[in-house]
Amino acid sequence: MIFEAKDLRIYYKTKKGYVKAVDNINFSVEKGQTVGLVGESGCGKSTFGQGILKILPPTTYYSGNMRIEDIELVGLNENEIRKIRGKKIGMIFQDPMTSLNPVMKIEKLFFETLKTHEPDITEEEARERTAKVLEKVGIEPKRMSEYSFQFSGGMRQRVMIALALVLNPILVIADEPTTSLDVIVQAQIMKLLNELRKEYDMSMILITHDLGVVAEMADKICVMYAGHIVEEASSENLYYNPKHPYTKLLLKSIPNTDINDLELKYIPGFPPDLSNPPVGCRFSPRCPFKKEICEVKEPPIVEVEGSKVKCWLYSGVEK
Amino acid sequence: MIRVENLKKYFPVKRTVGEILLRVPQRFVKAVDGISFTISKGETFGLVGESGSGKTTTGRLMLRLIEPTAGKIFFEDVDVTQLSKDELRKFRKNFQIIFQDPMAALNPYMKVGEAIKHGLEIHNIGGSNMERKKLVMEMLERVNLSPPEDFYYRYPHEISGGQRQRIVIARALILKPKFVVADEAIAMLDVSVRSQLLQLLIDLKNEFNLTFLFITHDLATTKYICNKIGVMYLGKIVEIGKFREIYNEPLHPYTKALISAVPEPDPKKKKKKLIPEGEVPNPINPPPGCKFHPRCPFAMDICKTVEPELKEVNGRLIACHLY
Repeated sequence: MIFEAKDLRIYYKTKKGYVKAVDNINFSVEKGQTVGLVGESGCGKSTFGQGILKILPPTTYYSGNMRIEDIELVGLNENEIRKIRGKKIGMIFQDPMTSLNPVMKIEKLFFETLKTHEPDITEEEARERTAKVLEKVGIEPKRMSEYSFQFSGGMRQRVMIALALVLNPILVIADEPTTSLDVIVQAQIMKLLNELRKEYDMSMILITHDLGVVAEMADKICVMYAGHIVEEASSENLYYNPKHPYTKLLLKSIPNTDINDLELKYIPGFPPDLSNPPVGCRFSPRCPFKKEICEVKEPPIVEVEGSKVKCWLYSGVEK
Repeated sequence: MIRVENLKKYFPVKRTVGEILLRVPQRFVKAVDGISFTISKGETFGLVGESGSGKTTTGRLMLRLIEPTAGKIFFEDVDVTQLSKDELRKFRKNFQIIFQDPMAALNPYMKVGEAIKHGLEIHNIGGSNMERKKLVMEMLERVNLSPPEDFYYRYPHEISGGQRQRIVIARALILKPKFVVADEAIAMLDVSVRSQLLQLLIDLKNEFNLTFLFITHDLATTKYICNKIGVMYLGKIVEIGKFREIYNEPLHPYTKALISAVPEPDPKKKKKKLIPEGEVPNPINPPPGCKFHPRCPFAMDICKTVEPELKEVNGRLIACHLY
């Protein structure tokens, strides 16, 4: 196992009290595996991704465990986590324009990154390694003397990917890596990520709201709703045999390319406010299958036909 | 009802002082380069393409938010491009636009109810202030923001993105327009909110008998609302036809690429993807011949020199030398 989170809670401190963005989740990534994390805005998926690297506001409250290989992340201070960031865990953000420093040439960006972890590296060496990794992501190495704004959106995202890979991390977190891109560029980037993860035997956490994107890339999918992981399944199981009502409705609400399926479906209502989440199952106010118990008691996670589901429909307890 | 003829919009590229002194000729970005289409009453025309294809410029030209370089736009036999400023202002009541980013489209210092009412005031609809307010309340209710009193006095930052877009829709439709341009109206929203709003647009379209120009980069959403689709690439329309036919059997290589690029949630249906290499070329200096030929897997010699004209193939229009 490369990465594991156990009973992990990440709460934001606000004037109104704690916002329970990630609330008691268990999550793991095996070597070479791509795990998709899917959910709507505000479900806590990005908080989780950024929480792994601890790039959240300093007042954020963590509890539980997070381990990368044998290193426990939850208790680490800023200096210690800095050795992990980039080196062991790489990150690809949604918006490459705001994540790449616009006043630094690409080669400088790479040099700085490399130097943080390998203080003895020379500029010459850094340039060599940059050239190699840029070539891997399909950018001509000579473009390393340009600035990020001279690249198109798709190319910029390739630079981001190269920057995340240059230190050979064991785990890459990709937070909505294709969301701001056009369909065709999106398909190109997905193809690239798929090739790279095979080549580098890379483990990846793919955070996205797009079930189509994860289905094409992930081995395992976790569906998040209001701070909880409500279902964990292989991508085939999730598509052909979804268990949780939320997953079922989410699957139905994505537009597909099937011309005969013209009925537009959606989940009525809105996700709850996480500073004051509903009692019991957090999906119960929107759930068409809710029972009495759902509004009273939080459901446990049970295993059904190879999937893990957090729903009273499957736990057999009717009390 | 709407007829666009050979519409063009060229944006001049800024020259440096040196270039002016050296008399380097003025260059242009041909954002929209001679497109023609018609939209019948009650129809929804989907304009699809990547960033930089000129679809948003087309939408803005239709409402004359920017002036066309050449071409004509007929709205029920009135040539919109020939209207004077005053005439245009009165005429604007007939067509409205819904922008992509509701936060940017709404004045942050104006209560959302007032923002909707503002249109009524400008066009002098509804007599007294009380009456106008009543109309706004009805409209808020209609876009499912109820109770309306709860929303009328709020500022844009106090409501969610989906609700904000509902306000923008309400503001556009309260003037009872005949024609609405929706420019990526639901692109910024979450999957389930997106579907809710798409359903709202479909319901309103039927209720008010609206004619829509639906601009989007996402082919998958067009199937719920569009009757007809036009695919744009670098300022040109490369394929126009009935939505169902294009979807079932895309003919132009670019349309094929667009459709196959839509991510597929079914893991067993690993489609054969026809993803073109490279990116959209620089519009200042587009390739000669067919603009798609450098990325086209079926490119022939003729494609490099002769630009294909739109011609009829199996009841639709295609600009491609393959047909």
